[in-house]
Amino acid sequence: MDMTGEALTLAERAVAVATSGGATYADARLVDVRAEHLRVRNGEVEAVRSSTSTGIGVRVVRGGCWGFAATGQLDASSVEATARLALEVAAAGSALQRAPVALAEGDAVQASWSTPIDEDPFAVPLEDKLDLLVRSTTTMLEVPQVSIAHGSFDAWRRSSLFVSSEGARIDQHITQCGAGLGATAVGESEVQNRSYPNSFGGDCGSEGYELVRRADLLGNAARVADEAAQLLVADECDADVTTVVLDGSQVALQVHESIGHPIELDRVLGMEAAYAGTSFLAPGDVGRLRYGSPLLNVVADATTPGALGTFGYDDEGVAATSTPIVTDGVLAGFLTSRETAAEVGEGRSGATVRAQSWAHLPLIRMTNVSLQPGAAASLDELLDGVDRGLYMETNRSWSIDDKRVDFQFGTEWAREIRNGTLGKVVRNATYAGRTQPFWASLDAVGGPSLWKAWGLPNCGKGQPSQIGYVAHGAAPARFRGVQVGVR
Amino acid sequence: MTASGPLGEDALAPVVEAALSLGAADDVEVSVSHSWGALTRFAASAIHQHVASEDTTVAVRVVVGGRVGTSSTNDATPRGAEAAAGAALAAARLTPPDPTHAELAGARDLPRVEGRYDEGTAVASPKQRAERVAGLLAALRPGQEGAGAVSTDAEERSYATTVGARHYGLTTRAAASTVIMGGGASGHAEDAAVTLDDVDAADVGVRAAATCAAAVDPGDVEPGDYEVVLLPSAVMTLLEHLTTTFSAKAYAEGRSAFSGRLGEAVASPLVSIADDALGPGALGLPFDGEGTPRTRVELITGGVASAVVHDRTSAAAAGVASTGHGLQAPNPYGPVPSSMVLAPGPHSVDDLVAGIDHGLVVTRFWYARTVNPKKTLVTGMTRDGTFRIDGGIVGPPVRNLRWNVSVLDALASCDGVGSRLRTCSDEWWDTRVPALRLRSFAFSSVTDH
Repeated sequence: MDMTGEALTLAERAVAVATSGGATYADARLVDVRAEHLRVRNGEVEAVRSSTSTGIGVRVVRGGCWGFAATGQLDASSVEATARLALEVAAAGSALQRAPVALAEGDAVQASWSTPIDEDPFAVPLEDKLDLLVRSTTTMLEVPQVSIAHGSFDAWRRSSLFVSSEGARIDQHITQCGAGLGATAVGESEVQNRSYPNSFGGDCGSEGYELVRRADLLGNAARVADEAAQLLVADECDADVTTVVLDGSQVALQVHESIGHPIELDRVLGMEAAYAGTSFLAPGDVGRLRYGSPLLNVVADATTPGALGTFGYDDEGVAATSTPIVTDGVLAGFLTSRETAAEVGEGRSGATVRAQSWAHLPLIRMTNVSLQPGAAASLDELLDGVDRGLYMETNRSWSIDDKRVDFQFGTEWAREIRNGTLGKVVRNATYAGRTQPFWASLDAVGGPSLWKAWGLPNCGKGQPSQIGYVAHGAAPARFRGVQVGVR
Repeated sequence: MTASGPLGEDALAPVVEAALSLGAADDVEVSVSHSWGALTRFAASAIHQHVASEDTTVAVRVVVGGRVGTSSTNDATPRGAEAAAGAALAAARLTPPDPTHAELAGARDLPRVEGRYDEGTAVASPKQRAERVAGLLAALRPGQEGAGAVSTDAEERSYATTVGARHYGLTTRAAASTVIMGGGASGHAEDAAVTLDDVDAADVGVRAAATCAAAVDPGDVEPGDYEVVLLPSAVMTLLEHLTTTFSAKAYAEGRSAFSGRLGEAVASPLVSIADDALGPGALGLPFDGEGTPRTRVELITGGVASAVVHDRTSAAAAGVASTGHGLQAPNPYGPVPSSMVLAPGPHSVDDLVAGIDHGLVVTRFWYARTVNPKKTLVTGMTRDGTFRIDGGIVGPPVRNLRWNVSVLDALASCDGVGSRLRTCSDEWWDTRVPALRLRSFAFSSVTDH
């Protein structure tokens, strides 16, 4: 859809109806999403799906209350009716209002932004993309113990027009794609999976098809299948308290669950209590709370090139920025919105607010919340300091409590570490702990050459539930005294 | 002004026919879904997020020479449907033949199901939902705050294929859920029904407020193996982690805990689980995402693994009929049980508690994730009200615990089933479950709240 002209007229009309109807603030997001999803299983194409969805979401503040309404009908009458519905929704909330909504400063910016890409994923011939997945899964099936080999490709292009009553006019085009492989080996009493490059449908980023080419799925297929077969006959992970070296993808998930979510300020302020929970953090903890070891440095950076959580402007029209979250192990900041920033006395939002679609209310979401690289130049350097431990790679299961304290994770792949060297493979490896003691046990972090931004395209939040596309930069890292082999 | 209403089967017909009229295809399937809904969300006892949305999607599957392509759009006009059909055809032509593709649904009568749609719920206003929130929060005790949501959703769906299937259905769903907090404690309750008037939001508030009040000052507890009474919301979590077990696709591939074990005892004889989208208290349409009429499937009968659910693909591979558990194409996940019910027993919750000398009562589980699907090994946390049982009586509250259990092993230890079914939901489906008493449930750690 053309995001100018008619689209601009509709979005401006929505905002005008809202403000003339009593809104003290209003914005409209007109969004067009194009997507493609390919699934191949055992050399056969299981799914080829393309989709388009276009609609408008209108957000208002009226009488100090928020209201939101959205429609997929993009004609003037429907759009105006939707703006009026947003006003009605806001009015209904006034009977149970606490404090009137206040917003930190916004920008009346006029801007355009597009994801920098080399190769448009939608322009790559469908048969080429399918052929890659077919050949990769067929290669995996050459390992006799592998009975299920699957490959996936996903691409999204979100074109949005943001108009606010404060004068913002932002035209944005975000391209994202990802791909991955998985091999499943099935035994009498065991089922083992091995995924590449990651277990959440592969690796995703705000990039073009160059991300897929760089992943070299076909070149890794045989190894992935062989590792699944190895897991089928591997020993069980023993229960122990030991040193753990996590690969970058698992560090990324650890960051996601035990840092990314608890720092969402709406969670801290209780706004997500009914569903996702709250946080062990409080607003006054900034600058005071020791989150982990001095090697723990975390930044939320929505400008990280190629990362899944990268954009130009968030869904409140605030320019993407970088926010320190943990500095030398001490909490340094939160993920904020205009509303939550105002509530804690900050002058500006951290530009983190995004919605899954035009139909969803924008919420604080992680951007690219990343553990900054450390000093270890190689994985061997991390292993070198370990007499006895466990190396763990690629997430298999994840669980954490509603305040983000007690957690348990499992990985697909694990190898014992003995005297600084990787040893035998063990299966069904799990580890557990509590957030602050765990991060306090961090004693080595991989360096820049080991650092990568890992995309997570399935972060759930909100009621109604919606998905966020986020990322975490991470290198492998080492932790001491960790409980493994949880029973 | 209130919410939208149904467009009607006749209004959707031109869109359906536009897709079916695609030339150069062997077969076409089209599903047109018009959905509208709203949710009133509250936190700290104030409405803070209040949303409404409406959309119509047209999903088309095209088969040509054994090749399959799908496409969807929310341009719900005949022109949009034609474009989606054309895109699906173009994709199919570039795709290798799919030998697992099963025939599209043909003409079949739907089971007669009454009472799945309520006009009042479909057009419920923001004010009506806000009033329900106020009614829920009226139960708060001094020092308590409430968070939660009241929602009303509606869908009309027209489904058709070029091999004769023609279905139209209307559904509504209303729900209220809350977490009440105060004194360092919390309590949870929920309810869902076809009709907003049948959702007792006030009772949801009363139950959650009472649990919260009882849970103040949670004490220490040691991890270990406990006898437990699980209230319905917790039982729901156990069932939702058996969906792989109950899937014919997983069964055929050896990934299911039922693989090779149909006919074997896998749970206590007191445990019977079925998937029944047609039964009393169920919500949703009487046909699945592939246009197949839904059927009741007995999954575990008196503790014995009885059956798995099928979609058209798994059924064709197995040489049986689909049980009506297919998702809309394309579906790489396989068949899914989405309306499970665990048969009630004779006991009140007090009865169940009375049968335990030292144990725990669990209101709800949280963030449960499968650790090993073949062994139904799952980990998760307790949340919103966990209490000791001492001498057959509910005692002091305790801090939340992490658990690691095999769901089937836990169900094998069941020796008491509650008499009252509650509708409990997560974001994907509704279950109808009673409370259960289990003689063995392993908790591996304790958190700080």
